Amino acid sequence: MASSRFTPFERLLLSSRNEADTAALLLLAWLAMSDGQGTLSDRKRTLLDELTGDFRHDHGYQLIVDLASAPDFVALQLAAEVLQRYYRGPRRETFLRQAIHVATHEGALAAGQHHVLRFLADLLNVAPETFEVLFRDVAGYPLEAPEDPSAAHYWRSRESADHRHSSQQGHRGAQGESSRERTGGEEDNAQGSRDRHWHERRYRQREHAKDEREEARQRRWRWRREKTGQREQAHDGQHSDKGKRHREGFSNEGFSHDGAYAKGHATGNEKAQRALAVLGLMENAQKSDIKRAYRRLAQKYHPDRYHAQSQEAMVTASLRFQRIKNAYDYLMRQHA
Amino acid sequence: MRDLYRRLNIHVSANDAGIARAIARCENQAVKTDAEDVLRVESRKREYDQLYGTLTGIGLLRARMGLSHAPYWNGNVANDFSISADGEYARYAELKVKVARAVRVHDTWQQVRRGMLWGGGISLATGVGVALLVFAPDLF
Repeated sequence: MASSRFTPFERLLLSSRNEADTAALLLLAWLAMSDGQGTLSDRKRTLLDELTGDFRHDHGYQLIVDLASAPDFVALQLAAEVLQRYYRGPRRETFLRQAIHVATHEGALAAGQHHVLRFLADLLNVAPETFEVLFRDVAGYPLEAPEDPSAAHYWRSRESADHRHSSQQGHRGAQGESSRERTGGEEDNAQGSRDRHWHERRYRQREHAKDEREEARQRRWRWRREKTGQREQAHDGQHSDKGKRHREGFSNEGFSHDGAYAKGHATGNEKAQRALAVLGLMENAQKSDIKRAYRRLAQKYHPDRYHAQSQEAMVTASLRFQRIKNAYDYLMRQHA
Repeated sequence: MRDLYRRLNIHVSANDAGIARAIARCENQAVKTDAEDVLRVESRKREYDQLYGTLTGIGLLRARMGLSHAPYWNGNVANDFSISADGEYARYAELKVKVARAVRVHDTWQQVRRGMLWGGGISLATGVGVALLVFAPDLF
């Protein structure tokens, strides 16, 4: 059954300080690289570095990148098995959040990423309903069905959109706004450059939205910190360091909450919907439903329940609890 | 996403002429027009092939990990990219077997080495003793 030599990835796993983290890193790199470009750009690498800062794998990237770029499905299968073995309970959700964040970082999901993400959800045995709620929470928009490049109408609609865009862009180019795009497409043929513009356009839109979101989030953060700080100092000195721990963990995570809380410019309705999604409720939920859902989730996910488990489980639990509580507080303010 | 190659009954690596012939003899009108529009345009084919590679891989992984009936594997994609499982495949178990075997080999080698060291030491001592006995008998 076993071939005689160890493959490079097996060696890496064996020498890694944490098998599960190495496996997760490979799968995330695969996800990042299945966007149709097939390379790990510096942006993506920085993002992966950021997300996997607390991974304890203790080895370089090069092999991982090589394996993920010419997808070595033997290695990927091993990684998937390791992940399935080690990631249970709340840890799965954290990983899927990271995955969604990686996939939606540079614009809309590419077709390949749609399928890889769904594979990861199935792998970790997360039901579509739960996954869609997660996706909405992290990305800020609902998960759509993947596009179908095997159909002629997909290309026709896409290319007509490109055409419209490139005529618009001609105007803008005359105003000297888009030098980056123009230098990009010159040496290629018309088809290739249209494709690239299409990607670029999606990317730019997304980027713009992200900047706004980032700014809004920071603003909101400052506001929240001041407010909670004052409140705690005012009447609850005892619990303030616990609260601080929550907040620090919360801000370190940096990705999971930005869908739920970051959008200062989102309308109240959208925010309410997202908060309801966190509590796993439908849009027409009553106040009593919200309270019941909150109590159930709070009991289930209270950090004290994870006290006996690892530090990691504890941190994950408190982050999630904080998210649930914020959603509940928001909804209660709305209903008050 | 359908597997146009499978529906045209050709291999992915088929060249342009092969694809053109297959399209010409295809009887399903929908597949025919779509294949004409997708596979006969270089840039579209490139992108299609990339996604095709990813999906083939995912189909393989799902088949081997028993995920071909999971909720997110449905519709055209599941129809066209599912393959039948090719025997028992558990990479992690395989790795464990390999490690166990490597451990066994290592242990055996250590034993042999220790035996050889002892054996070597004893024979060296005996040799020295015999040599002394032969060449310097007046020491005894």
